[in-house]
Amino acid sequence: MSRGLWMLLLCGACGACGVAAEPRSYEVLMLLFRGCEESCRGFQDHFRRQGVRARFTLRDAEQEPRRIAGFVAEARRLRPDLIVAWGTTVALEVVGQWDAVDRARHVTDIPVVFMAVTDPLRSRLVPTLAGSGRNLAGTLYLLPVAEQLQAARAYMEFRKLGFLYNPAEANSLISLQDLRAQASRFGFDMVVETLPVGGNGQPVASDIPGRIAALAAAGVDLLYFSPDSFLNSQRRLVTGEALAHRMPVFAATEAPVTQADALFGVLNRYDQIGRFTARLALRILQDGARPGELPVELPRQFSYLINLRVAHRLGRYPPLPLLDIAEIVGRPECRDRKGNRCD
Amino acid sequence: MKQPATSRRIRPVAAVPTPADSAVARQPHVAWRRLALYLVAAQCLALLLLACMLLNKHHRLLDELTLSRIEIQASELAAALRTGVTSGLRPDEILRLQAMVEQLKDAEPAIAAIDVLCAEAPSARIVFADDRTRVGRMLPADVWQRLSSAQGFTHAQSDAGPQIAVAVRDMSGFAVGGLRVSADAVPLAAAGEAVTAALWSRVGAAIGATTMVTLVVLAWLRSRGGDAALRRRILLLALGSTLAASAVVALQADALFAERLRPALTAKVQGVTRLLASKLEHAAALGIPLDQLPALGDYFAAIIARHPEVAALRLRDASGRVLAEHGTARSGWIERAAGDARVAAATDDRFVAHRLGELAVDVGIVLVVAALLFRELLAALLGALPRADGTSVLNVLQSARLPLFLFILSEEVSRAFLPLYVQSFATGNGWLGEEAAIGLPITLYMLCFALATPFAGRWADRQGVARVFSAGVGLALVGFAWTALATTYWQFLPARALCACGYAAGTMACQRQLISLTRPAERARALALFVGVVGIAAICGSALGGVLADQFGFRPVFALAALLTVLALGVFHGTPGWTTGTRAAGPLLGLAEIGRLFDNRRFALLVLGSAIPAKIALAGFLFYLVPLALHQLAYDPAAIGRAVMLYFVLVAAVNPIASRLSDRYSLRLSLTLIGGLVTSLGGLLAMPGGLGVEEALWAGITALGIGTGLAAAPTQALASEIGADAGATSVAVVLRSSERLGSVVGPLWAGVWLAAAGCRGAMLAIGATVLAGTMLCVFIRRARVQ
Repeated sequence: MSRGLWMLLLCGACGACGVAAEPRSYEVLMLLFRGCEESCRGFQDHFRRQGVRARFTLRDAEQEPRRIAGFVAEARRLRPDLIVAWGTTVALEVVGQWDAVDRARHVTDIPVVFMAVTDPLRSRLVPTLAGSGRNLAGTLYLLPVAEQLQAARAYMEFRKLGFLYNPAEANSLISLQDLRAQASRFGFDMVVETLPVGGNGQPVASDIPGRIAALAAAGVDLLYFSPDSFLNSQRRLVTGEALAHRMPVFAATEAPVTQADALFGVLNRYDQIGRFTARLALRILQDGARPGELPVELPRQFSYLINLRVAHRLGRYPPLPLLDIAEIVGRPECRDRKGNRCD
Repeated sequence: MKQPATSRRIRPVAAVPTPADSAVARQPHVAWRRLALYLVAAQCLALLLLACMLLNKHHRLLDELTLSRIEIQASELAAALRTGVTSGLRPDEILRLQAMVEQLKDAEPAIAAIDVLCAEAPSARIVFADDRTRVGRMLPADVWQRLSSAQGFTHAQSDAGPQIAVAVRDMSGFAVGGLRVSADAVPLAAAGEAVTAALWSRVGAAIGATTMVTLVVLAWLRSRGGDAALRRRILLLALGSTLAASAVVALQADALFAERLRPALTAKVQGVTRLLASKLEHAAALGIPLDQLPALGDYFAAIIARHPEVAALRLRDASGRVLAEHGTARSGWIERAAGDARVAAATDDRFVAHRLGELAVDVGIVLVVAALLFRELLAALLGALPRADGTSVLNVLQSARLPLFLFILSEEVSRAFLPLYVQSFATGNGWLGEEAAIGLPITLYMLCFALATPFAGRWADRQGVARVFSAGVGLALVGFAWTALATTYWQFLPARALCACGYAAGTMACQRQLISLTRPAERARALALFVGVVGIAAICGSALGGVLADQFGFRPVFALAALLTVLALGVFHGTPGWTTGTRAAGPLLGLAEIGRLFDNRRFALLVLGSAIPAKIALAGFLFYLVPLALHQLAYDPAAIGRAVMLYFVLVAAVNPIASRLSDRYSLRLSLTLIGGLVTSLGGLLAMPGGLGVEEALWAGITALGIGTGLAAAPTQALASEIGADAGATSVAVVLRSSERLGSVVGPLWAGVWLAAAGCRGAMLAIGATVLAGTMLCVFIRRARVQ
């Protein structure tokens, strides 16, 4: 054969070797609802720690559900190796309910992993936590309500538990039902105030102070801050008002404690949620696991967060055994530029 | 000559009833030298055992104090490891751990080695250590397995010394790393040796004193001349001096240990104080006013509950005002600063005494066994049982008690924990399920015993009692030695078979001798003696075996059993009048006779309905199920021994009552039925939803004891009655042999149900079996009415 052909073959072989020698880089599309917060960053960091090469494409719906459809179309064009869906709303837009999949609107042939979904069962994302049976896997992040209440009792006694109900969000109803179911076992009464829904289908922020005042007047000794996106967007207002009425707030998610004035909460930190979900993602990408067969699991490394600044303001301090295990946030001294603790 | 004190009890050596002779005839058959030897030997053994138990306790306490102190300090390191792991780091990436390891090692001189572990399938690797040469080593797989499956800190003994270890888990509960800290064994061993030496000198003095007192008093009693009260006096002497010596030794040990353990105790309390101070400082650094910390009193109470070495805790602010307090302080306070406040802890100076007091029950058992042993010794050597017509033959019988007692003791001593010993070998046995594997040696033993007994009896008649007893001892000796040295499971089967054959030979030899030396009128009495000795040996054996297994482990107890058989042989050959030649062999048991007996429907019903189920319950429940189940409930071998002992005590207590009732009021069938019902009730109480498993087991043992005690003698009498009707004479033998079938089946039956339905299921099955048998026995009455 001619020398040129040999050269070509040699180069081709080298090229093939080169490509084979270089580790594969994954294409991951992350569809977010309120920016790349700690769970998104934790997800990416886990890939980095494990030495897995990946290119992350981020798309943020900025709390507008209508934008998600556009991202789904983009996903179909780009065909990434994996789609990450943050939150119930995004996940439902991407894959739909398990018994109502629309091949035109939903993604059915690319693996999708969800995180920060309050209740995948009741949102009808999966038929059972043992596996979705389709191109969907994901993680839980909320501690069961009974365990949350037990953790709250470790800090303080409470007889009247207050709740702000948001009719516009399914998660709120689920939360309220779960709490009601535990009321007799833990020996407390529920005091519920409903936030009236405004013109755009969402509650109105200015109603919040009035509802909280009503709760305070009813003698609520602990306010439960449920995992509700509207409430979360108004966390400073909610917790600030509660603090003004000297009402401690127990949060089911991280932000009200770390970025507002909730007193305490027992939860998975978003960073943990991201890492845990990333482990699941790597099982699909690297080990070839089928998404539909992977169980939906809860990471068990919970943090007991206590906002010390609020504890000082309320004069309600945790018992010493809790201080052993709690993560203290809100230390007035020593904060770095990002607002995180500097130790 | 002074007249002997009047006594309503007639002296056994009634050959010289006249007062003039009484003082002169000083119990010519009392071997004073041998008596002194045996008594002193028994006392020494009891005191030595007591000393061993006390020393064991001291060493355990010292290890415990040291380890719990180290645990307090290691928990900081463990917390740092845990925090790192939860942040997504692997243990070998948490670089500051190396500095923390070195700091901890410097701060605490009692620590010999610290290892930080990182899981690496299938085991774990040492990634940080105080000694760099250890870094990189892998742990043995089973060590990691044990570490990673436990929750919290585990204590263990390693080559380096006592060790604590804890596993650290990631967010899915998977053990990704761990921490291991070893205490320096050298100072602990040195302290232990110093205490041992100090205690032995005291024990030696106590033994010396006791021996002197015993010898002096014996000499005095000998010079005074014996009378019927002699035995009681010697018993009092032996028991009293042992008790006094034990009390003295125990008190001295308490004082000695309290003094020697004080540094370790103080160090532990200082550790607790340091920990509490750091927590309070942490709270204070967060700006929390200490007087506003809620529920501090409860927190102190929880600490005191977890660390019993601490008697009281107190927190005072800078001005001295008490902010929180719990407990009462009897000794001085150990104080430590916590910011502006001061936290203080008081040592519990009764801690050592309290912990030694945990030995009280076991020591009590040892003393009771010692008392029973003394009684046996005296009965053997003095032969002073009250008799209407004291013949010298009965003295020989009495002297036969001791070898028999020792021989049976050797067998009973392992009864309480044999299934546990077998279990430690039986794991992973392939085709045999674990439960069946544990039951097999017991079944095989019973089978060999049942098969060997008739042959042994005939052999004893032909070859002479001495030869057969010696052969029995030899077989049992080999069997026990083999069991003690066993390395695999399959060695148990031939070993137990040997023990069974030896036991059959030895006991049959003794029984034959008793029968051949007594007239028919006395035979019942002689057999009652035989049964009595078996009962006492069973009580002593199960309790003592449990205590010894707890102190020294399983193998030494089997070695002791071997030793006891040798002792039995020695005593046997040293006893005069025992080896009186061969007798004409007793009537052989013809098959025709057996057939005639079983043709009688009532006899068959009795055997099938009462005798066999009773033995199924005994072998299946008491010998097989109880040790396993109590072990599962975390009972130590000493406690299991006590539980088994309860059965024997109840039988010994109830049997005489039932005997009397049966004879006086002819309540034979009724008592058999009632006994069966009581026994079955014990099994049926294990119904789910009723009693807890532990209560059910104790109820079962109690019911079995009472039920067996009620039914044993009446069943035998009823069998004789039925047999007499049928024209048979060897009813007892046939009854004994057929009921052994129950002993053989019992462990297997229990094992099958244990595997299928757990402990409750096995108990219910046995209870149902006994109940069914009792129902069958009802038909015996009907037949009679017809």
